[in-house]
Amino acid sequence: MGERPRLSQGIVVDELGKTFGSGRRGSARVDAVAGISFHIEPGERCAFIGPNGAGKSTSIKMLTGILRPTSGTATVLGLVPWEQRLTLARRIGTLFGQRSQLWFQLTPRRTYALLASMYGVPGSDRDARLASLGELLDATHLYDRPVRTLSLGERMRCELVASLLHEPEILFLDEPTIGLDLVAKTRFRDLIVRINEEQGTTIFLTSHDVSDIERVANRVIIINHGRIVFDDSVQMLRQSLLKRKLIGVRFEEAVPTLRVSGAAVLTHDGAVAQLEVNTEESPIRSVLDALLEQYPVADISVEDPPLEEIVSHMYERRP
Amino acid sequence: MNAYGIAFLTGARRTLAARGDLSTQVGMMLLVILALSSVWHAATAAHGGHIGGYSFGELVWYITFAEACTVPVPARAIEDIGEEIGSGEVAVAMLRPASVVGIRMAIDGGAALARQWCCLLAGGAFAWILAGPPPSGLSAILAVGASFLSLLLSIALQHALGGIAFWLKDARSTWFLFQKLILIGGGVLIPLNLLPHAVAAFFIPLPFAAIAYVPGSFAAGHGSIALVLEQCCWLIVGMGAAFLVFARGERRLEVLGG
Repeated sequence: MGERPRLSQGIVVDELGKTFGSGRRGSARVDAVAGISFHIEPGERCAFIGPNGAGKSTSIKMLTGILRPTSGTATVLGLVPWEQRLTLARRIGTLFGQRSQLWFQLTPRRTYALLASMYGVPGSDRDARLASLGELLDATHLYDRPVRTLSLGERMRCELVASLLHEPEILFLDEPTIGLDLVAKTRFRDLIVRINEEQGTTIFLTSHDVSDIERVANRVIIINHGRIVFDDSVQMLRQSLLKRKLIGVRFEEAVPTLRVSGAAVLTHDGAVAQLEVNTEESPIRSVLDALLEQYPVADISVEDPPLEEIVSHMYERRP
Repeated sequence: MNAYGIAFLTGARRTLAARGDLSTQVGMMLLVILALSSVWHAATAAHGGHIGGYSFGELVWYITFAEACTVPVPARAIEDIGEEIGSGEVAVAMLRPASVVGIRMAIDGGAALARQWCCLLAGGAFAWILAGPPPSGLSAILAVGASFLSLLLSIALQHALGGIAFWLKDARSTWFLFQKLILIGGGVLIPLNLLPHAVAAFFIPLPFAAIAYVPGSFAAGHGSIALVLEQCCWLIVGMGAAFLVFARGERRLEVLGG
């Protein structure tokens, strides 16, 4: 196994906090982020999620150097973002779903020329990267159309090209799929994963769309009321929280009444039913044994509850 | 070419691509020159051909350059800058490895310079038709140089004032005040030295005069080294103020939410 990358080259956050407003002379004091800590190593795909007002965007803005924290420290690629913003900017890429980095009056190609000059990407490298990114994102044909004439999906692909033009080591994505249709979302998620796998780019993603987390991330940090309430893998989020399993069952013939010890019947319609089991109270195996003994089962499946439901449950928790 | 040079060219290309807007602006400027020329023609005729040391031809060339220094910079640029800051849009620009105000001024400068050249070419031809050649070839060349400095000063002041939004979250009211001060205190309608002495003495040292009165005076053949120095001093102050305001403002930016 190769040597693990140094932690300082990833994202290191220690008791980072941000308070808006002084609280003096009647001005509101808002603790947007209240002392969060986490480490993200290079190459990780981390989803940073939480309900509205949880402190996600504020955290991203501190990690990219736009906002100065009121407490704590952080380093990104070994740099203090708010002290070394311009140096850091050369090494990270950002994509804000609600804010465009393209100039609407220009074509993407003109914007890329300007961005490449800011990032110090030589003309030959720029053209080569535009060609490869255009192929990867199927965006080459969009380069010479004015941005204002692009659809949202097309524009987001062009935004991603702009974010990746300088080959960033970390890509910060803030609600990147907002407003996209299902096909565009799926495609966009696949692209992010591909960029991570092929180029080793670290992905730091915030989103309200649980599918973004499922498809893109291998780690989830949940923030609520400015504090971290969960930090583990997506799999662990499913397994360790809500000890609840859903059993889907199809019987060989219609069953008039359905009653299984240790399980609650959620739905029952003749030969098809869905049951819920709290595995802390009843082992799933005993429930399945009882079901198979009592009824003529034709097909059976055991599933975790949808991630969306788990996340909603997490959001309701106070830190 | 560095990022600021490319930003400057990008701004110029953007202006030249929007031919409809450009034509409208130039057309409006010619109408204003025609209207003011008619007024000055009547005024000079009533005073034996000269008024306050200016001939009709000198006044036409004055107006042409004063207009060509004020029309190219959008009056509401301060409001746009303030809106970008107040809405948090400026955060996107802060994620780039370049000076936010530097890139912004370069783009605006390129756009304004392209407009100014169109205004000067069309306005110069129109003034020539109305009043004959400029009073002095050398003065006309100096006037072109002063016009460029005027443009830079105007853009710098607008960014310095727009940057107030970092503190107040709003710079909407400032643009109106700025525009009126240039119109009256800058001498767009009338050379400042034709105003009552006390009023002229008050306005001439101010930066608004460096935007319109100085290039206009050179075009009319009434320029002086003191006016060039005044313009250069205000340009340094304006640029310094713009960079300082943004540097301080960016450090205290508060963008709540996404």
